[in-house]
Amino acid sequence: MTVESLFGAFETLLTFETMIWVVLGILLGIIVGALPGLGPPLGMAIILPMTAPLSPENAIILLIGIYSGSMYGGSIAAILINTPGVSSSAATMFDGYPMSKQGKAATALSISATASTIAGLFTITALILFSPFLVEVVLAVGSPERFLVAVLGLAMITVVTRGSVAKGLLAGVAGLLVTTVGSAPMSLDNRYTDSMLLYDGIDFVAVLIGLFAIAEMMKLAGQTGGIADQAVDIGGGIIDGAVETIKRPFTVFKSSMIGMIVGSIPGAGSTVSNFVAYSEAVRSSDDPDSFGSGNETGVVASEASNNGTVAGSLIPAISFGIPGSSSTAVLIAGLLMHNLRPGQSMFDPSGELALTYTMLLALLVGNVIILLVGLTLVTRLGILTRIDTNYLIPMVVVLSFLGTYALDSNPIDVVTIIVFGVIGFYMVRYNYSVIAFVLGVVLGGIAENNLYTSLQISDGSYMIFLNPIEYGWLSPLLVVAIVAILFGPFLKGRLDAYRESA
Amino acid sequence: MNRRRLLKGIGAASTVSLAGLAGCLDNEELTWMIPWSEGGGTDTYARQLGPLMEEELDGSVVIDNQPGAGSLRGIEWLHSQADDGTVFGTANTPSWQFGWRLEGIDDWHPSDFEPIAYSGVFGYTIIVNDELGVSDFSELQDAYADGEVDNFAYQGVGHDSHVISYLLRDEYDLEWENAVAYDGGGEVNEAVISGETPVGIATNTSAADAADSGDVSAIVNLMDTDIDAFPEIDQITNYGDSLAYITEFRQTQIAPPGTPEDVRQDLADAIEYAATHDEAQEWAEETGNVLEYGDIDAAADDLGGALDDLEENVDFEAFQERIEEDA
Repeated sequence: MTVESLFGAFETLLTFETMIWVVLGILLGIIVGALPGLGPPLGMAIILPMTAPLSPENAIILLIGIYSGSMYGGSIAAILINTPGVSSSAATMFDGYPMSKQGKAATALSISATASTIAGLFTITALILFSPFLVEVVLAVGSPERFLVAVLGLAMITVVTRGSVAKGLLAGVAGLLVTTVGSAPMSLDNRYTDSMLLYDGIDFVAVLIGLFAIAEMMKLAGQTGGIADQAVDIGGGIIDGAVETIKRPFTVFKSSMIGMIVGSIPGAGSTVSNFVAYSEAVRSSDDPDSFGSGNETGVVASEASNNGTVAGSLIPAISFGIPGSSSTAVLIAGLLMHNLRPGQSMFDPSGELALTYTMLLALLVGNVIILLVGLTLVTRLGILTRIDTNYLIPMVVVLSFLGTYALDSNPIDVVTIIVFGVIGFYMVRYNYSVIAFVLGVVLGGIAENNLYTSLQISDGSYMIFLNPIEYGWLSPLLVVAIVAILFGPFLKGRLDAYRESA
Repeated sequence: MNRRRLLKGIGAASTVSLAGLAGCLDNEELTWMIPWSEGGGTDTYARQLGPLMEEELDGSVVIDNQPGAGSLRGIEWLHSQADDGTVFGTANTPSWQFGWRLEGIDDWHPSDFEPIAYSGVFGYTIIVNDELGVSDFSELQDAYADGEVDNFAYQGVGHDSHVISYLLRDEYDLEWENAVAYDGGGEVNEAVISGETPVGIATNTSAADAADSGDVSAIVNLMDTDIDAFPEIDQITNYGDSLAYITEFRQTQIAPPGTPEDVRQDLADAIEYAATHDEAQEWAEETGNVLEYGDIDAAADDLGGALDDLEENVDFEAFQERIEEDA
């Protein structure tokens, strides 16, 4: 029956009409993802009512195509203008934009397309093969595990910080402090605000746009020419990018797995997985100091992880109707609109398994389209890095403001990008780790909410993070990983010193 | 594909993408403010009804999502908009009155707004992980009394579901030990499905989603309106007074203060056309949503009575003190 469903899915997919929707979805997604602030939820929500006349298969394929395409599309703005098209491409900026400045925009865009495609193909195939097991993994991750994943990400501050560790920790703590603004999760207090505009806190996407796009434009205002060094040739490098990605199979595999697993955790999602994968790439590198200045591995890790999250986030969405993000919330709304109720029937051969397979196979085809479009068309956008800053800066600033306001129509977001633009500018100037700051901003809220919920579940006992018999093995394993990251380098140094003296 | 055709394609697609920004760029169109994010229940309703309303109004309706502060930010924004009928919004009654009262907002009053209509009804149920072996509310009471289960999931501190948790304990003998706060309905569903907190509050639509996972059942309807998706479900009114004043919500369309009645009547007609349209009714049946039209007078009654009912039944000051004690 399962094989029959798979063949039925192939039959549905390989029709001209369905393939048109696959291509259209991916292309729309790439555009929506590339425009800062718009993002997949808004793009999908606008398209949603227009899917009413379509068959359920084609409607879902169109929506999921936008979702998948946007994950790749986000890297375009990240690489070319240091602005995250979507929040899950934030880590792509760290090495993608320096590559653009070195005249290697086409290579970076090529890496992004190749890594996104391979990760997408790998994780969707894994989802098709191992979905029952993956569903169990999702259910094993609860509030304590979410808290510990956030702490694991925060522990990565010690790994990603270059130069002064004290400055890195300070930046990380400052990022955490930003997340304390707004309604407290455990009381009726509104912290640092009397205005309703700040009740939900400071939007981290606005913070990212300020820290990177606005700060960079402030910096560029002091130089002539374009983003790329005028002395270098920006053409070529497309094949190099694909080769550089293929030469790093383990990074692609590892990052896409991180993307898939962390992405499947509702409330954590693609942004967290993006940073965790990038930090892990830095941690496991022989040359960690080269990250942040155009290391290809950084782009590979970031882009492989965010496309991996698409497969991961589908697990709770299709299996339980649990939206891990706004994008999957719109997708679930699309399923319901077409009389498809998320649940076990989506994996049941006598239920909707054929449609689930059609959707996943469409994503496989969609990833091939990403590769083709990415390598043949998007890489040509490297020419943007040659635009004179006198023209580029106003364009990026206007796009940033418009995109930020479009997030929630909240004027405080506009103030946020200005404030954090200035902060980001001076952080770079005085060598404070922007990555550490961003980790604090992205993970602080997740950590606080889930710590509180975990302690309510355990009636205040911290053993919920340590006791494998009562609460499962995953939390203690995460605790071990956190301890290893924090104290591993110190213990390794002591061990090496001991060996040398012996 | 040559370069010219590509650019043409990108231009066309960009127009589609930027359509979502139209609400903040163009005041000439009819703006429907939704105080929740894209993809949420209220947003989904609006995106179903919006195109049908356009047919009746012969104009365009742009959905403008203004989430934040549990819907209060968008409603506050609506309060300051022009009263010429070009802007209206949806508020979930009595949830927004509850939030307004709890926050102690002085700048505006819910009665300032002008009623247009209501178009949908939804409300709370209690969902339970099937491993507990509970099929109705009395068995759930026994499970808590016997210590088989301790925790109860709700949707955030200060949320209306938080008050309901206390009311269920105080007045309906549901003796939970810890009420566990989650960040919204999605997280509650997940906690109940995984068994982390095996009992919790869910809206009727998300309860239907959770029940379809195969591991969860909705065991009691906390509102008065029957739920088609659960025809056999137990009713909380079998165990005490109605809780509908805080558990049953209507999607009420409201206009800024001073909006004339004739303009609102045009909008109400368009909402009636959309909410009673075959296409919308079909969607409601398929998704388990409840589409129910109420005219200007019905919406006015609803708005007028909601706050009074809450004040009569909920001791807000005691609730606030209790939250601070539990924090």
